[in-house]
Amino acid sequence: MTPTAGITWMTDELLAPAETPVPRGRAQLMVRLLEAQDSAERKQVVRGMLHAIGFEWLAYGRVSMQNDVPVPRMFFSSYAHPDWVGTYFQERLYEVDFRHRDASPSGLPRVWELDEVVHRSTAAGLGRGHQRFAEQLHASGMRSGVFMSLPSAGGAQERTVISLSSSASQRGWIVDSVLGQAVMLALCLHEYLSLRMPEAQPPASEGLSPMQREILRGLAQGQSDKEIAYRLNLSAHTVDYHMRRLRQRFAVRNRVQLVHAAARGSAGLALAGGA
Amino acid sequence: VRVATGGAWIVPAHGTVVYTEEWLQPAIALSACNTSLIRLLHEAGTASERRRLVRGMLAAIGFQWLDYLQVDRCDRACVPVRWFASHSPPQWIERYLRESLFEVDFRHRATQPYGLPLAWELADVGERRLARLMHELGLRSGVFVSLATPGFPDQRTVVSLVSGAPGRGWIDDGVLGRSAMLALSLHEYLAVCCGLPEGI
Repeated sequence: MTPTAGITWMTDELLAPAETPVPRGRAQLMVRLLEAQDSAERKQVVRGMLHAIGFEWLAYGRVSMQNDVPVPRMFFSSYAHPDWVGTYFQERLYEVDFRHRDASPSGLPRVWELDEVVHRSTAAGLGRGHQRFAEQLHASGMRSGVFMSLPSAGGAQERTVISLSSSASQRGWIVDSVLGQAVMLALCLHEYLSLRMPEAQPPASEGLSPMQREILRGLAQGQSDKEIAYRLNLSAHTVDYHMRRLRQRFAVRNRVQLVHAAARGSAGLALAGGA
Repeated sequence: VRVATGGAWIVPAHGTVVYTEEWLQPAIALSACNTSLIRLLHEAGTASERRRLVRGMLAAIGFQWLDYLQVDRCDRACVPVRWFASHSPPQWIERYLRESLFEVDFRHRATQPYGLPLAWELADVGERRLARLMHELGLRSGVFVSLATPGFPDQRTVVSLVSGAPGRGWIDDGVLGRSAMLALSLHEYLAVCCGLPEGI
């Protein structure tokens, strides 16, 4: 696969290490992701779940929609079809991938099948790219799937895209119960990657542990120590300890100053959180 | 109630628009994004039929009630802007708004738009007034889902599925997945197919 200019390429091995604050009341799948000892174990968890639902590949990325055309910003390739990804980006097939435009603003997943893509690619007035898109899907053995486009932090045009694909022909097998499992896998991975992607972390947080970043994020959202402790499933004592360490690190005396100091270092965006 | 019109009214305390099935005006055609629940809701001829469909779906997962609302200004407190009341427990909305319980409702803080659904139980509710009201009304466990709101980037959509079953042990990943799909389907139907009220 040839990296394409302007796109940040990520794999599971490049993720920031997890300090595993396991939140209360979250899916078991998320707990398993957070408790995985290393990248290999995490991949086993995700691939196991993908196959159990009936999918072979999962693509995760961020795009910026410009005049209804997706411009890729980041791609996480660990579970993607390697041949498909290479062609998709080198030949800019994302520009004719109608699933981006069809995706609902509500975040509801869109189910697709190859026959539909082939049918649409032959419509009058469409260029060769559309046919190439259908041909490459066919050549890669991707015949049906679920496509989700979620609003991202950073602007109305920014979307996080999660696509699960299968070699099963026709879409009939993707019933609501399959969709429910697919959505849970997608949301678990989305939450996990949002916490671990280096570019999603504030620059000022270099050297901070994931738990300290989470505490700062909660602080920036106006949460009390008690609320932060609840969300991260920590004791109030542990939160207090990290607060003291953070105040020392940023050389400030209280939580208000800490929020300001951390926000200055992060341009105020990453700490405010978001999808 | 300050103003009322067919199926919608305003609760004065915070200016929240509360509306029910009777207010909805479904779109004529569905988009390519749909699920069996959306198709059934679309085909349903009346408000009572739609109400029965959603209640049946809720009961099949193990829930009795559902709140669907948009909240604003989540930097300080998540103030409800609109509340679809057709499946909410009696007295819940009125007291939640009158007593400004959204200010102390930990579930808003514990979820992010398109983060994972949160499973909760009554024992998790630390705030005394909120816990007392939930106890009085028999709201003992549930799933809280936070989503973005099409057309309103500063507002979050909250879908809260609530049960009288004690403890959250029964809410496994299967229940969470079905809850997430019900939440997304209803959100698509109400926000995209029908449109959200912008004043009444």
